[in-house]
Amino acid sequence: MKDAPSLVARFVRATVAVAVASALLLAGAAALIAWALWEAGGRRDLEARAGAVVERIEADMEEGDWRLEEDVPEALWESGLVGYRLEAWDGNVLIAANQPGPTLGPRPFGSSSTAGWLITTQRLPRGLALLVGAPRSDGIRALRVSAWSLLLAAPLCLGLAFLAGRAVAVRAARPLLDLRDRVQAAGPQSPFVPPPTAAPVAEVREIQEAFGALWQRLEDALSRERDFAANASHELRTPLTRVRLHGERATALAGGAAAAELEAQRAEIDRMARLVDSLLVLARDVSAGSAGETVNIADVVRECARDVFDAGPAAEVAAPDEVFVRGDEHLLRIAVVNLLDNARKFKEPGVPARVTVEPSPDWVRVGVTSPGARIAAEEKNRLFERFYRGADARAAHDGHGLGLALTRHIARLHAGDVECTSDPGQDAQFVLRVPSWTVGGAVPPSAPPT
Amino acid sequence: KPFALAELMARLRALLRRDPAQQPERLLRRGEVTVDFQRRQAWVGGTEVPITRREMEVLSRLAWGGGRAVSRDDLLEEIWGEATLESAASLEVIVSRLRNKLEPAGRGSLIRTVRGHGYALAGEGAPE
Repeated sequence: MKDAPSLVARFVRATVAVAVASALLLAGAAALIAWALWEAGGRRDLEARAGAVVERIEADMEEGDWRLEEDVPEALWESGLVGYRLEAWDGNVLIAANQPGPTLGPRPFGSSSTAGWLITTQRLPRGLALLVGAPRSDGIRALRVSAWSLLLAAPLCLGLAFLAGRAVAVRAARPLLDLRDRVQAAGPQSPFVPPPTAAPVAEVREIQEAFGALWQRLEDALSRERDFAANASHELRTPLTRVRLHGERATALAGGAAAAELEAQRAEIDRMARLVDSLLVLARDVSAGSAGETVNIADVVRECARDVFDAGPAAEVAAPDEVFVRGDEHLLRIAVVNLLDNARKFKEPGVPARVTVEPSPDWVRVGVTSPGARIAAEEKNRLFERFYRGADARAAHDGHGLGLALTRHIARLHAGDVECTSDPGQDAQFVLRVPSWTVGGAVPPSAPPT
Repeated sequence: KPFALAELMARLRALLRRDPAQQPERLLRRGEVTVDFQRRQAWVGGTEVPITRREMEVLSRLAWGGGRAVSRDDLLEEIWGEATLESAASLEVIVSRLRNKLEPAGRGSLIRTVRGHGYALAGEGAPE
């Protein structure tokens, strides 16, 4: 999920894109308007002055004795168009432009760049025309100014757009972020709590309601499952005990082959009873840790190892004489037996399993290594799922796939855990870890015994 | 559940049938050692020491006997349920651990060995 861009980032990107686009459009429009205004101002001025020139020339023409080459420069000078030159073109056209002006008129083929902007044309008597043009460089200068201002303004616009965009995005996404925090905080210990006030955004409110309903369904299902397991265990245990009792009586009465069959039946009933016991333990959800009794886990491990490796080679147990934890001895025994039982089932026959008990100030670690057994990387965590059985286990061993789940459950009831610590190429190793025994909160009773 | 309650009552009645004079004290005090049998905790000089359930049972049975010696067989029968070589060895280990934990170095023995018979709790009120 880490790779997916966050909602806020998406909002920010979208907002920034929109803001930058609109800022650029606005700046472009402003530049165009400024240029048009400048242009219009200059043009009005030129048009007025051109009018004056035309009037002057017309007056000169009416007086007779009019010569193009002499009178026009004079009229231009008198009209105050300083910096403009006048050229006769094709014998009968007047051209006004400032120095060094562009060539106006029919554009020379292929060199349109030298052409200026034609601003106005005014008719003169005798087939003459006054063409007024602005040099191209003026327009280009105006464009360059707006381009530079745009370029300099762009980073500022971008920065502002980013800040504004992020603020807006965070604000807009706030209900969703709140919901995310609440969902993240929800866990087995702290149920999902909807915010005190309904989310202000319709979509978020819907998500919240949907999630709340989902969570409730999940809670209900879990609690039903626990109730079911607890009830089922009790209800199944009682008839099993009776069946076993009848079986034992029948074994005593029967003889020969019948007794052997009954004995096999008893073993099956015991197996079934263990399964039911496992379910009973799994249905327990009460912490057994700090308030529990003192247990010498080293003794528990030694005794369990002796019982489990009854038939084959005894396990190599490396454990100090006394290692204490607080908890439920019966449960810890089940956890240890399950680990040892797995070692017995999956290790190479004839090679002893290795068991260690290592105390430390914080944790007591019980390590069980099965020589020859391998655990694939992808199975490492699945092994602790209820009713999950590895490929090896399904193929070669009976069992119900509850052992490791049960061990983990018991470890966690004791505020510890169990993990598979070996690499796929190594002998399988499981480590059960439980908090070390610490001095309890209670103080010795001070009243003298009576 | 009704059957569980009935069983509980039966067990309680069985407990009460025992001689009340022989009920173990809730607390045992011997010098610096304090043992609370109800809470299954023990302290030496105010510091809690770890005592397992089995160890507490042996200690409790010895305390119940007052200062009188309790035979090895009685201890094994009542706590392990059977007197085997294995349980006898366990008893030895437990007594030795209890001594290690509850007898600060240099102090007298809290648990006396009665040669050829069993163990007794030493100290106050011990008639022997």
